[in-house]
Amino acid sequence: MAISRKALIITAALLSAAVIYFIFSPEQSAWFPKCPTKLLTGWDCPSCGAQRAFHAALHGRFGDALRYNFFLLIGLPYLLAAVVASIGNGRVARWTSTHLLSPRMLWIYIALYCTWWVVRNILGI
Amino acid sequence: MKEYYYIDSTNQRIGPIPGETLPSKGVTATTYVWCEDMGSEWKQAGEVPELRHMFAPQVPPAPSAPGMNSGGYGGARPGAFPGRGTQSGTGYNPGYRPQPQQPGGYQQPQQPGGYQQPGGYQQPGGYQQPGGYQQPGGYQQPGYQQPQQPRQPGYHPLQPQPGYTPPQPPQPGFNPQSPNNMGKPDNYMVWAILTTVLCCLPAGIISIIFASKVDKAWYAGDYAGAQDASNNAKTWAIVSAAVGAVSIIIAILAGL
Repeated sequence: MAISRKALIITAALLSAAVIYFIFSPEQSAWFPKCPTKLLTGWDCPSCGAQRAFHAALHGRFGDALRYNFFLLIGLPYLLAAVVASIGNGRVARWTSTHLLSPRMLWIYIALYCTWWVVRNILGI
Repeated sequence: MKEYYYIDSTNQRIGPIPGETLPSKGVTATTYVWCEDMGSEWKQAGEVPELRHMFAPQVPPAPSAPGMNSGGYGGARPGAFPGRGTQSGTGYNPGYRPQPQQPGGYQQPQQPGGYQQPGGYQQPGGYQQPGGYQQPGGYQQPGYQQPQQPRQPGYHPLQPQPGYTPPQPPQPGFNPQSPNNMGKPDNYMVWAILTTVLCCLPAGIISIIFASKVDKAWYAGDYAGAQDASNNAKTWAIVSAAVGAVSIIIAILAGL
């Protein structure tokens, strides 16, 4: 089945990523990917801090994780909704697809994303 | 029995579910179904050999069903329907599907063909009168024969055709124009949102915008547009990933 194979690959990728982010700290290891926006402009992008946040969260420091990037509070659940809509084919997946991933909700998501981008650079968070 | 997908009343693709459970899901002989053996074709359940028996009660309509006796509807069958029958197996030929499912559109083109070919029309019905008075071509008048033919009792057994009887509007979600007959194209929404969470680029936003257009275009009947949006969403997700990969390389080089 194509679906279960896809789920297997994704699970494997997530697990390996979790292991890597648990063992290594993005702040101390030079070879973690750097944000191109930050390298070029010096501004934080909306996702800056995500790697540090994952590292902190994997070590149980959820407060720190949140402070690295507040937007993950919105982005991760929304990502989960997209995953559910993508791999499921039942009632829940359909509801998610038509309600949470409707064009209007996506535009709200994009608006929040851009607002966060501006606000975090103004406030320095 | 094999696993089947089917199209429900809201044009959603449901499945896979075991074939024997299809009737309990409201699937009828005219519901479009698909299983892995069927390639890119969706067929009406009444046309799938493995499923046909489950919809048997719909197959033999009453011999004197109203509508069957009128005009050229029945008369067209012997000559014209066999051709239709083979066509219906091909599933998604553009321009095909809407025709047989609309009674109005069906009858009109059939009448001339069915009536004006005496050979194909009279013989399978078996209603030629003994004595051969109909045989001489010069004897029969077209106007005389037509009103009589539909009332011939030997004619009816040809009529029941599974999958044909209940006219239904075409399913917009499964139009032959669709480049992917399995359903709407992937919108790559997971990747689009993932790039906004992990990556910092406008590419993620662009990818989300295209991803949202896939479903919108699809349900509006714009299948080419849906495919375009799907391709764009994929492209921008890849752009995003590629820039991410480049930034990793830059990071490695910078760290050396």
